[in-house]
Amino acid sequence: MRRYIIRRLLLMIPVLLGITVITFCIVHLTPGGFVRVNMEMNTKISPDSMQKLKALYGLDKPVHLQYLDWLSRFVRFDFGHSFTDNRPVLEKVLERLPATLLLNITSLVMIFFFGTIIGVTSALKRNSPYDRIMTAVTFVGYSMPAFWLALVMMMAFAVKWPVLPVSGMTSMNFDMMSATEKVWDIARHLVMPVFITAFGGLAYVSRYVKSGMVEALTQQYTTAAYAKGLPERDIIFRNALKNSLLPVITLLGLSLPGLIGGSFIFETIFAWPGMGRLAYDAAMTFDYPVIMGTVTMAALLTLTGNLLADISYALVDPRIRYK
Amino acid sequence: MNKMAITGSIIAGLLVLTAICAPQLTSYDYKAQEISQRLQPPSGSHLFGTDELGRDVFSRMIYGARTSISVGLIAVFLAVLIGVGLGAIAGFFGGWIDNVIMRFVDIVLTIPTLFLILMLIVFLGPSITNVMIIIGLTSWTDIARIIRAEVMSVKKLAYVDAARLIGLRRRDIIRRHILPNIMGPVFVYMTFGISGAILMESGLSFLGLGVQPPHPSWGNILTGGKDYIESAWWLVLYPGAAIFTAVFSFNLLGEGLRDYFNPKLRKE
Amino acid sequence: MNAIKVKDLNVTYRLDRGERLYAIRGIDLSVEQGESVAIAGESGCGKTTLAHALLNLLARNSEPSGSVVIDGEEVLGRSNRELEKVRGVKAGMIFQDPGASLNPLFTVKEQVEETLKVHLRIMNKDELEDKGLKLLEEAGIADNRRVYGSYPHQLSGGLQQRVMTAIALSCGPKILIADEPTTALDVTVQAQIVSMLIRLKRERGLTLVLITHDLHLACMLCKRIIVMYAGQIVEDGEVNSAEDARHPYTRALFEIIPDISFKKEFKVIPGSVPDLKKVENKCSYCDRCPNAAQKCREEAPGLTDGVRCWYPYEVKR
Repeated sequence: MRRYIIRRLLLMIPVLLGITVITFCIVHLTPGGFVRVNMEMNTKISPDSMQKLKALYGLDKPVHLQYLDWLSRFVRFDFGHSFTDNRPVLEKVLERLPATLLLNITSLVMIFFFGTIIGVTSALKRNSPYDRIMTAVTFVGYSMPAFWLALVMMMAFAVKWPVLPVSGMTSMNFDMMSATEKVWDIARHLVMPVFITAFGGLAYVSRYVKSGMVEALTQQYTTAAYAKGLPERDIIFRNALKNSLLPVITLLGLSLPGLIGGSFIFETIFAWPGMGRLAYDAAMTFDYPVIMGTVTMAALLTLTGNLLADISYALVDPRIRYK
Repeated sequence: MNKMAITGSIIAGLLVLTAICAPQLTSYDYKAQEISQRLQPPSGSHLFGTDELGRDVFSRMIYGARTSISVGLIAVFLAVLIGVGLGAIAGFFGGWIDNVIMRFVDIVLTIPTLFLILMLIVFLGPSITNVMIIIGLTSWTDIARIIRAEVMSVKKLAYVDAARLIGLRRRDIIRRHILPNIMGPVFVYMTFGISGAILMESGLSFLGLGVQPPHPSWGNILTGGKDYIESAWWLVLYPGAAIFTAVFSFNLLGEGLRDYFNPKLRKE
Repeated sequence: MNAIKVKDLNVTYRLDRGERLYAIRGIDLSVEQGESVAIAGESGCGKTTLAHALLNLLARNSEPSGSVVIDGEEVLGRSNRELEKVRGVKAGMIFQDPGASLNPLFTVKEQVEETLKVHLRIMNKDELEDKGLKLLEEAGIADNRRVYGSYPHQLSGGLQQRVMTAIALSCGPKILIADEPTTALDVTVQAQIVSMLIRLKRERGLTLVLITHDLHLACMLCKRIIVMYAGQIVEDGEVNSAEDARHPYTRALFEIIPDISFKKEFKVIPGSVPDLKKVENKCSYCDRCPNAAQKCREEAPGLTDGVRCWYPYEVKR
């Protein structure tokens, strides 16, 4: 088991390097970018001071040297300073991390909780009206443009019947609240974004759980379990459920990049102070160090998620563990 | 064919038809601004009302269908080209070639796709062509993985061995024996890919990173609408419903095709 | 009292597009306590459906009718909860593919003790383990401590079937239903499993119902052979060779047993099992029968004196 984890950890390194190389290339080799934007903003800038500006940010060196520079700082957890406000990138990313994690983890918990319930119940009542309705509802969610649903929900619950806050993670008077009020305030702000992500993600999970459950229920070991005279509750919730949750673990790992990356669209809509918006703002202002920082951090989160998924898979499935 | 595939293809077909016949379906110019007529609710003369610049929303939506459908088709075509190519090569040759390609797939899969697209758009500049290319360049990984797996399983079948024995060249084996076998999964993922691309395009256009006004897209009509959610509901409702319908129909078609190509799934 | 009493059992499966498959038609069968019965036939003749019907383990799309009484308890039309008192307690069952009948995610220990907890209400950890280890030993597993802590995939097919048998017999049922217990195993392992079954049968005084396509195996374990064809019993009696057989189909089944010495030519029964989607008023074997006459094609024969044939072979019993 330990060797398995170490092997997985080592495999992460080339992937992470690859990601940073690709991102670096996109950022530095494409036309346009920071320098041009600065020139356009400030037409009076002379070629001479342009050169100085480049040198200041280390942009005058060949790209591979710039990358090695970046890499040598990265291994020391130094992501450099933002071009726009000169604050350390790590600090900027880390202050956005809790909001991103809060939103994504809450969404994931919701998706997997309700997805599993819907999947299991649909499998038990397969081909019933309940099963069909659930399939239809989750399918609609899956086809729904999230940003549109966000707008419609804002229209309904923030404008027409103002019961939920429109934007941000906290209210204006957050600092003056008591601890319980703070929790309640954040929870209220979470409702819409979490509902929207969960509604969209439900189809995947419930479908996987359902087909896993149907498969497990039609396996011979399930027939054998009935033949042993075990109570049906044990057969479904102990024997079959464990088998049907196996593919879900992998799915959990795979759905991370989509959630983290996808969040920037409605982080923008809901003005959620997460990493998605930071990346968006950084890209818009060609803030290279911050772009590199957010992408690397998102990739690290994803890789960690995948690793956790792999480990839990191995914990559940002895066939992997003892290979 | 099953009900899902038929329903999906009818709706999708109607959308494609709308896109093709756009000039015949409306008498308004989608670019014509008429400030005196701005933000008119739906009426007999403006079916879906007018936007903040007094343009006819119905015409913009119909031309928007052109944008969405063509982005969907071209992006997916590109993704399939890359995905099938790399997947088939990886699956067929195996060994280090497979290893290199699959590590590359891992890398692309681990960068959150939308971040990647966001960066590319910002640096290449937002335009409809760039959107197509970028969506295509970032969404080939699923297809590549499926094709690789399919090719590997087909490769083990007896007739491919037989073909190799009678001395067919590798390229011929891929073309004549393996490709026909993987058409099913490719079709399925193409339909899902189209709906994914339409969703992506509308999202990007909504954020101002995709199709640029005055060129219409369902996404950028919504951008205009979001500032008027309190007064002009039609600017939010119709384009969103159009995106949903398009995505829904292609997804439905994809589901239907998946069942069709995999009859095992229909039974329990 | 009979250990098993089946009366007028019919099982049909609902298929796509409203089609129905008549898997089992009008089976009457009684098995004495301590008796060993083999149910034989080609694949598709309904023998596995019959085995599943004995414990009401039929698939969701099946419609059984008639009556199956196991040790005094009716099983058809009973809920899973009611059947907990029969399954594993009055009758245990083992299956064709032992690897697939064990849950891959649980250790042997967990799977053995699960049944003990449910039926025997043993809760003490040490007691459970002692009992479990003893059961494995009884099933002929010498290395029982290692096997006990293993996962199914770590065991050979033979060991898996021994574990399955140990679990099926763990709560002391008097009846064992074995559905093709050796088919998925190697020849040498088959022999070991057969000798284990013979020993357990003797030691525990089991009533054994063996489902098999292999008449050779059937004769090794059982005196009484029930031959099924197209969902019906075509012969029921003490048949040990082709010469004993009264039904032409039974005779054909004996003749196709491959001869170890390879002296005889490898034979097959010409034709194939009839379509079970329609029921016609004729002998279901008449299309493949060498003795078929006009009457066979016009009227279905009943089961008389243990044979379902208009023109059975005369044999001395």
